[in-house]
Amino acid sequence: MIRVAICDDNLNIANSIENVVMDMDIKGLSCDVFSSGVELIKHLQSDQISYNIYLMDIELPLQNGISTASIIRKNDKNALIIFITDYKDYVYEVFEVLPFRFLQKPVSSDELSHVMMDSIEHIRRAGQIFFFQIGHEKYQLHYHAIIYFEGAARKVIIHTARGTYEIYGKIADIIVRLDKSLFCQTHASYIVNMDYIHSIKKTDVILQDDIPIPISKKHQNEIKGAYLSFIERRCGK
Amino acid sequence: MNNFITSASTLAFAMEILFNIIGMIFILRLYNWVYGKANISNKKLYLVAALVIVVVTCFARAILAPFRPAAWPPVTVLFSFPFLICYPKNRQKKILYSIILLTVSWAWLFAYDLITSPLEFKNVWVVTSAFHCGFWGLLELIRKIDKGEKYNIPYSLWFLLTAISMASMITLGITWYYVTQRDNPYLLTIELPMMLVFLFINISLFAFFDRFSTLMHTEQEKIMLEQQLQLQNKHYEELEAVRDQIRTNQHNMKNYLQTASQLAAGQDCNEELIEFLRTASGEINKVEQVVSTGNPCLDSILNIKISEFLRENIKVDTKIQIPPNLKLSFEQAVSILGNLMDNAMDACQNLKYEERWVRIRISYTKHTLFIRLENSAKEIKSWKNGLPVSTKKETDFHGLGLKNVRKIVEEVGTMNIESTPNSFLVCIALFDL
Repeated sequence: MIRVAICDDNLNIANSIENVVMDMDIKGLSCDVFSSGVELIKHLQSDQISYNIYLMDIELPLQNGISTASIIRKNDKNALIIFITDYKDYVYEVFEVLPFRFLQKPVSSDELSHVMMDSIEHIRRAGQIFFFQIGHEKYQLHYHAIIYFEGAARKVIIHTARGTYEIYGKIADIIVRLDKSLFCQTHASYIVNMDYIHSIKKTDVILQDDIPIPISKKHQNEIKGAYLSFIERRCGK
Repeated sequence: MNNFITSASTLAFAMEILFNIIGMIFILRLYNWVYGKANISNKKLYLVAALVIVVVTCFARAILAPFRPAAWPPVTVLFSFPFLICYPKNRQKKILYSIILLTVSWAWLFAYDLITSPLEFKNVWVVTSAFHCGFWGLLELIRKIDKGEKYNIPYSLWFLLTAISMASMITLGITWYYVTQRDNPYLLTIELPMMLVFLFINISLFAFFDRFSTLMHTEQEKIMLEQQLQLQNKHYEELEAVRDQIRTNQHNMKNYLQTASQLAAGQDCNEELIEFLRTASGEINKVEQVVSTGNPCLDSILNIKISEFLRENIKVDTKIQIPPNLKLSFEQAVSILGNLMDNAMDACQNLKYEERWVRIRISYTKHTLFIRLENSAKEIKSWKNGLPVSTKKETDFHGLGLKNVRKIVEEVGTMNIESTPNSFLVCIALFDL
């Protein structure tokens, strides 16, 4: 189930975008159109729902696309926000809400469906589930919730934003179970979720919140190559 | 022929010929490696060399006493020298290597002779075979030491290395003379360790030359990379100054024209003149920036290069979304984008008008600046160290472009280069900007 919100004060544009998205023939995709940021936020708050993808015009009356997006971002770290911009308007705070992509006006249906496909692929990847067991209890975590895996003796510690889980196992057995386009091994006892990488230094990968993860010589080139393809996928062609 | 009285001596002679041919082939194999491929086919080369060495061995047999061996490595080395003309030009290396090779073969002969001659019970076959095998082993060792670098070293250094080898050859000669003149030549005294030391020193000379050659090359390349960077920076600074001047002029011109049209309107001039002045000032507005990213460094380079692309009928497709406060310096922007776009331009110029295109994507996500530049190009077939080898004839600064890009990128990020049958793609991620 993928929910898309389109927010544009020009209803003609909004409708044509909706048509393109609905014509893409993706199972379980639903689309809602909003004519202003205020309306969208009100809807989100009253109905307690969220969308996976937001297609937002930057120029909106009353509350512009960027401040609307920043409210959305505060509550939802995983939402994909795609801005629709005019060639001339450059509003630079736009990067603070971590937009997924930009679409330039006039939006071509080709480009729109391309960006939509990339978004859906991104959601699919990050939404995959990692299953594990602690004692007799079975657990599951979405890939996007996992920051990194750390091997320690015969145990593996799963680090997430909400705490850690300790399971029995080996890093080498875990890496083969994961999606290599999202996870990369940096060291004999570390696997990182590339979505959380802030930068790559010579000997460490720096994750968000400045967490350093060591890189071993063996994995040095591998991690750089993997992250470059990850960024390329993220930024599009 | 009193040389071949017994069948054993005939057999020994056949063996010597065989050893010499093999020795010659080992030498040529070494040449192939250190000087590069010979400009005639290997088969021909080996055949002629084998013939020469057979003749030489026969001649040696004819003039030497029967108990003297006719296969001498230094002689083989000596007769391999004429074949050097078949190899690519590299006088410095050829002279030095020839001298060292001669010294090494001689020192080996001398040392081996000093060891084996005093032995009372020995099998001539074993001694001779071991001697030649040892020589081949030395040639292979030299081949392993040499990395096949073909860059010159400074002449002072070259002279020093040559002098060391020459000096050891002269000392060898003197020792040889001294040893053969004394009553008992094989006293196993100081000469033996001396010969081994000479052998070692001379083989080390190959390694020295190789190291220096590599070092000099990297040093030269470093200087050239620096120079190119500086030139490039200057070039863009100058261009930017010119563009700035043009913009100022345009701005002034527009003001003049507008003032003129206002004056004309106030003076009840004819409509045509007023209309003309209006259009003229409007025209000036059209000459604008091609792209505007909000980042002055990127803007100036992109605009300069994109206008060049358009002039060359290259279709340009840009998508650039970046924050204005990037920590990208002018030098970084110039060396990365300037070089990449120069390369794209070169590649496109080799294609027909309708096949020329460049696609530039610059995006920013998660503190990482991502640059993706793809252009139409013929497939690149020759690579060295992960970079395409420049196909241009003038070697001054060509091929340095991507090296410079890599040098800058590796400090703060990573890059990848791909070539397909009709396009060329460079992806760069710069971290923590």
